[in-house]
Amino acid sequence: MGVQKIATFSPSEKTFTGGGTFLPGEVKGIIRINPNKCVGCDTCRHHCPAGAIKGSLGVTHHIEEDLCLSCGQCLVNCPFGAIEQMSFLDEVLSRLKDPDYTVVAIIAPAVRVALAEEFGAPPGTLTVHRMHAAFKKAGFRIYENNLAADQTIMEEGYEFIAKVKYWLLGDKTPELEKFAEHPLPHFTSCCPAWIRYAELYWPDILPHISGAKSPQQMAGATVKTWVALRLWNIDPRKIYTVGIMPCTAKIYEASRPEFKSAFYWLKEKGHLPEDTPPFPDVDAVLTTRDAAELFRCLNINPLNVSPEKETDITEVYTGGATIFGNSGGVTEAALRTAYCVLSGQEPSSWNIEAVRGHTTGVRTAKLAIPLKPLGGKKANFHICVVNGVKNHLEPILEDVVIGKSPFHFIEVMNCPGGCINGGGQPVNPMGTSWIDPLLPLPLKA
Amino acid sequence: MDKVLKFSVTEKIFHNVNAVSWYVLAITGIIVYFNLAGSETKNFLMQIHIWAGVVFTFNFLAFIFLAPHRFYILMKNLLEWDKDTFAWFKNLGGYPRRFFKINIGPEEVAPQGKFNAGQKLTYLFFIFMIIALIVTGWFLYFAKHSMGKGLFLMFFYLHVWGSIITTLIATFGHIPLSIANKEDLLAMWRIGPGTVSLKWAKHHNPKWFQNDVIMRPLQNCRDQYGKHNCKGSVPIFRNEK
Ligand code: HEM
Ligand code: SF4
Ligand code: SF4
Ligand code: SF4
Repeated sequence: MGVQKIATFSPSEKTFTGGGTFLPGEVKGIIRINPNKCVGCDTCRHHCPAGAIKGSLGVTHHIEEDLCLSCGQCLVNCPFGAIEQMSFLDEVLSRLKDPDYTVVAIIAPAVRVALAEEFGAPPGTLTVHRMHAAFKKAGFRIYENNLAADQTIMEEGYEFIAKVKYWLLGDKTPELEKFAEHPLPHFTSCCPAWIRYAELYWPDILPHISGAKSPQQMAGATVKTWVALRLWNIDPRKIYTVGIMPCTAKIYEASRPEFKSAFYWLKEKGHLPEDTPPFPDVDAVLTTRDAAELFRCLNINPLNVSPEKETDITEVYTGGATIFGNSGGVTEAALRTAYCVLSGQEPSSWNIEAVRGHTTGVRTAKLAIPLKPLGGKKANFHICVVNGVKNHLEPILEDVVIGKSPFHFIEVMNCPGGCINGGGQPVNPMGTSWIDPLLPLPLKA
Repeated sequence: MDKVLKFSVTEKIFHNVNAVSWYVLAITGIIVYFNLAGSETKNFLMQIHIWAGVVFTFNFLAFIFLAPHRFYILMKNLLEWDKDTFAWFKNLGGYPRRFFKINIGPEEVAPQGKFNAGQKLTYLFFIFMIIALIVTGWFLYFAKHSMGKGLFLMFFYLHVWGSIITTLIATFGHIPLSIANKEDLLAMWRIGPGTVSLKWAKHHNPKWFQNDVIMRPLQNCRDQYGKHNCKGSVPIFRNEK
């Protein structure tokens, strides 16, 4: 079965001017409705987690930019292909042609699963090695997003551990002082649509959200610092990082002004000339669909490229991160870390299956961790995974705000089923994700 | 007595409420789909469309559930096809000759039942579309997400184009022809009995008259002056004997 063609458009001057709920430089208007194609069927409005879509049945709909999370759920669910995505493909193509630049692809796991679909093969048929080879053929070097996901998991796992120590075990040592302002439950932070949702609609929740950057942002910063200086020996200013993501909100995330860590660090350490203008950690984001278009422009069919072994250490990753793209994946990975540290032992089984996968919008699990500081006394941790902000998240946030939440760890993925079903993925003309709210399908990476 | 009942009250109510709500639905739907008005107006028209849809739906359900025997007779008349029914197509009931002076087929029209072959086809199509539009309409409104995108699209286009095609057939075929057949028109639309004259029935629907209608001689009857007057006969239906 083919995939539905989604129209794209290039950014304009207005894209970066900020205003409304956007800071200057932040990409706005990533998702827009083409009024000439919209028939007013009202489907998109029922999928929007933010109530950003205005219009009633029969009337041409439009998106209120200031309310929009750029998650693209409306886009993948519009039966008429009337919703379009801003694409940075032209910019990426021109950088690929520019011999001065090293263009680095940061490839999320959910991309590989879906990319094959764009080339007419069943989802999941594209192997990692083959896909890497295809990106290299297109002129990229690769930094596996999975590698960054490992970093995120460590970071987030340790952050959770610190919160547990401070809030549950009463450990008020000075280095844990800062967690006084970051109470439990702990929320994950890797979904940019969720972050914007919290910022716009639930600011009270912000102190609960992990301070860890998403894998994409960790990858960008790492490539422009450690990889550039230590591994590849190239000028970080001549590195152009491209997130290859299942997600349209990642386009927005990359443009957030705070994500210039590499620049500030390099500057502080004297690696940059004084007059260097600030540059972002991630220069551009291509969705899975954009990446497929890129291959088509360059006449590459990733399914026919001969696979290669890794040549860079930056292409390698662990199993823990592969499940990141699954809903529940982040939680599982972070909890593996937390379990080890808090109990001083490995969990009896590595798979804490109760949270992974997708059967309903909200999944909860209980995990008993023997706590080393309490002499191995078991404590129950209540874990919650929200698949799809729409319809599911509000009651959970309400509990947190009034201090009645039973949970310690809450993962929020904006899209139903997680990134595998993200707004940047190939659009299935049958709309498998559509029946999702009624008949949740097991979507596994 | 020289009249015979062609359309019962239930049929007349069903048909006329159906016809009026149909055009309300068609006009509002077409304006909204083809963007012939501003957003405010379209929003308002859509509201009307939904409420007219409620009337349209309940009208149809009421007919089949409250007058199932009439619905049965209607369907029986529409579904029974004999040699003469097919023979109607040879000259299309003589209409091309009568209206446009186009000479096709024999002069004589093959004898037809309560409905001629053209009516049978058209009405079957109408009834099919009425059901299809009710089903697709309410699915589009209430159950988008139980369908999946592909089925949704199919339903959507069936609803839009099915209704447009049917409206064209009704507007340029059914209505002009029904106006041309004056007694039928009056029987269907007048406020009062749905009867046509015996003469009309014998001429237009000979087989119906022959097969379904029996002339029962009047017996033991008095006229309004109390006098015996048993000349003549009344038409009754065979299944009412
Ligand atoms: C508003 C204009 C309309 C007029 C003046 C009109 C007139 C008539 C007349 C006179 C008949 C009886 C014809 C006969 O059998 O000799 C008839 C039957 C019928 N019409 Fe219409 N009609 C109209 C609209 C519609 C519409 C919009 C539909 C549905 C799409 C429809 C569906 C039918 C059906 C199914 C029958 C056969 C029903 C029965 O005999 O009980 N009509 N119409
Ligand atoms: S789903 Fe598509 S066609 Fe339907 S209202 Fe939204 S944008 Fe318009
Ligand atoms: S992109 Fe997401 S938040 Fe924005 S209008 Fe579409 S569904 Fe709503
Ligand atoms: S769930 Fe994944 S794809 Fe969807 S908005 Fe969040 S990060 Fe993007």
